[in-house]
Amino acid sequence: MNGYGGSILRVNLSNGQLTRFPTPPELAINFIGGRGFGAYLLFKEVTKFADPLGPENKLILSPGPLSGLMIPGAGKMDFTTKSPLTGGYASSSLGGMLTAELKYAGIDSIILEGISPNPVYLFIDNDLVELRDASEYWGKGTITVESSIKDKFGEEFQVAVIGPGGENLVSFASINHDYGRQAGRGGVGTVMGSKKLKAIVVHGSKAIPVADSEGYRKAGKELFKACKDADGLVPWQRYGTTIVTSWCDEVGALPTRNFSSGHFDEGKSLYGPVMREKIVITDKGCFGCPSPCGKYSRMKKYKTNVEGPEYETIGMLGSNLGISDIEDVAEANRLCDDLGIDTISTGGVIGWAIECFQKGILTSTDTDGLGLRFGDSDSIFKLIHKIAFQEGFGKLLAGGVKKAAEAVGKGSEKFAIHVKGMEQSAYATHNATAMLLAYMTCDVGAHHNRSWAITYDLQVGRELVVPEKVARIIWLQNFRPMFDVLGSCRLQWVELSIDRDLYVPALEAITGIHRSWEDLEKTGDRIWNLTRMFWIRENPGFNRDWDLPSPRFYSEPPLDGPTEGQITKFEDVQKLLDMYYEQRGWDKNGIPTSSTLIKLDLAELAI
Amino acid sequence: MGTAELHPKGMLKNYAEGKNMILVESGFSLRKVLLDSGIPPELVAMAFVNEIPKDKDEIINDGEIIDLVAVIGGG
Repeated sequence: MNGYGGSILRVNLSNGQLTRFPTPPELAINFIGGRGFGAYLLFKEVTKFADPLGPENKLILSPGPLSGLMIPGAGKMDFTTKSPLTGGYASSSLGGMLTAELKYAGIDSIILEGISPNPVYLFIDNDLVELRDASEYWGKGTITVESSIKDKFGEEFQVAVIGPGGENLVSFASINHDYGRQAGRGGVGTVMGSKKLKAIVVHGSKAIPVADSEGYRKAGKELFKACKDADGLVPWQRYGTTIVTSWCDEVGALPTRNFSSGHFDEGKSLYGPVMREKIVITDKGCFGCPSPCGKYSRMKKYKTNVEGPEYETIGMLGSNLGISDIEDVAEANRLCDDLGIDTISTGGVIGWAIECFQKGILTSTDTDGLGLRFGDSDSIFKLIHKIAFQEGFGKLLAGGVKKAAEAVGKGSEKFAIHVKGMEQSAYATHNATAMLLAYMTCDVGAHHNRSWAITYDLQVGRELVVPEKVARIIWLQNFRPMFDVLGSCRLQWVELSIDRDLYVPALEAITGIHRSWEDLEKTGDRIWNLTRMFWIRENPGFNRDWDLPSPRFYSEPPLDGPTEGQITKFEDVQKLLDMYYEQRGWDKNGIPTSSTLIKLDLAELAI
Repeated sequence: MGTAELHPKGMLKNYAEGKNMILVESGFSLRKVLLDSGIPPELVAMAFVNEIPKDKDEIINDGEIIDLVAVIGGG
């Protein structure tokens, strides 16, 4: 099949059985690849009410049809599972080199199921597939293990690995790769840990068939040329995602002290140019990237290195925890990466814990003697360790902020910043109604990547609650995640503003199937509704309350900064949902109607 | 008073009638110059004055070239 590796690998960790079967053509036609494959296989294969950490849950890794080819940023891969953090759909995207190698080994998806009796790693070298003993790696950090595996097999082998966080079943454990890239969100690393799978090691050298090699070369070159000619290329390469740190601070979107404000008085010390000057030593990109946004940093104070920090980490482990020294933020980033826990969720749950302590809801008796305060990096580093090892007070935080707040109570639920149990990423949404709706309705919980709409709020009026804003969110949700389906990075379109229509001839030349963006958005809509039905199937009583944001954004206006005194009224939150459901073709409780499912060729899911 | 050059990038050109360069009067803050030029300061992620990043309260001097990077292209 053109554009595909040609096979799906099933790995049963319980009995060690490894089977490979041809990628079904109808799967490729209807769900294309990447996140589409993951969503379909999750819904079809994971039994209803499966324990996320039990043998019946599956972790599904999928490149897309563009992965590993001469397309800008074609180094993306999707990890899908039933989330141990939220109990719903989880999908996390990973950059780096792994996805290309997997395609070269002829693989379009790996389905991991069961639970191994002992720690193992999955070894793939083209057609050689084996589960091997990982006892020598178990208990070690991600950087050490990746380095050891590469020393053993060679640099051409690509490695995805979990850290102690995944082994110890922290609900927001990450999967690390390339010494600093993560599939971070939703606990994909937790599920890998539950299966006692320490690492996946891949090498491939097969060709990927394409339908029209001349057309593919031409379309690929045009895409690369558009990137190289882009206005924003130079600053984007120099600062990467940190380009928005100062902007977020300026417009009141920088999460500060557990999202109590959108402005950090000491924020300037975290801005992109300061970070570049103080700690960045080089740039780093993923497979096939003409605009590498990764930054590699050296923390002299700690004599350590890290890839990052990216904006999200600066927001969540920096301003959100009151830390103003970029070296401290980078060190917290390094600890999370090596221990294998998500920086965003970690910043969210620690921010909540500090606020609890400040309000007297928690005392040092609860926190193993630690005094918690914003800006105290030493205690924050200790908390990161405690979370990763589920040690003492860390055990409470390791379940995520929703469960921690439910356990502690005393009103702390009101400042547990999450949607559906996923900690909100780094945009304060006190008065940014499109971005607030984006978080409320995101298919994995409060994550920004499906619809990054905060600029749109600024363009059209941040407090407006109008159908056009809702339509924009739905369009972004159907369109943006298609890059995760195709297996390429969206940032060339997002940050360099290259024409998305340039992808159409490339995809056609590679797969031999013409798909306009209208066609692709319809597939995006189908996947969106499929994942919504997964939430509904797995969570009896699922209703519109699941889509509500943290009360902080509709009841506690910031006391300072550009959004001082501003919130979104609760009636407007409900109005946003009403408009969203209507435009999506969902009922008043956010359930897709039968006619919507039939229209999207999902008739078999109609209730 | 002399002049300086604003170079809007990406979607910021939409606020400058599609132009790659606008001549502006120097001696004022970048924020004021942006407002006077019809470019919303809140949509400018970073400003580079003669290739050095500066904040929007920086006073613009004669002959300076100011590159304006949009917050984001697509959304």
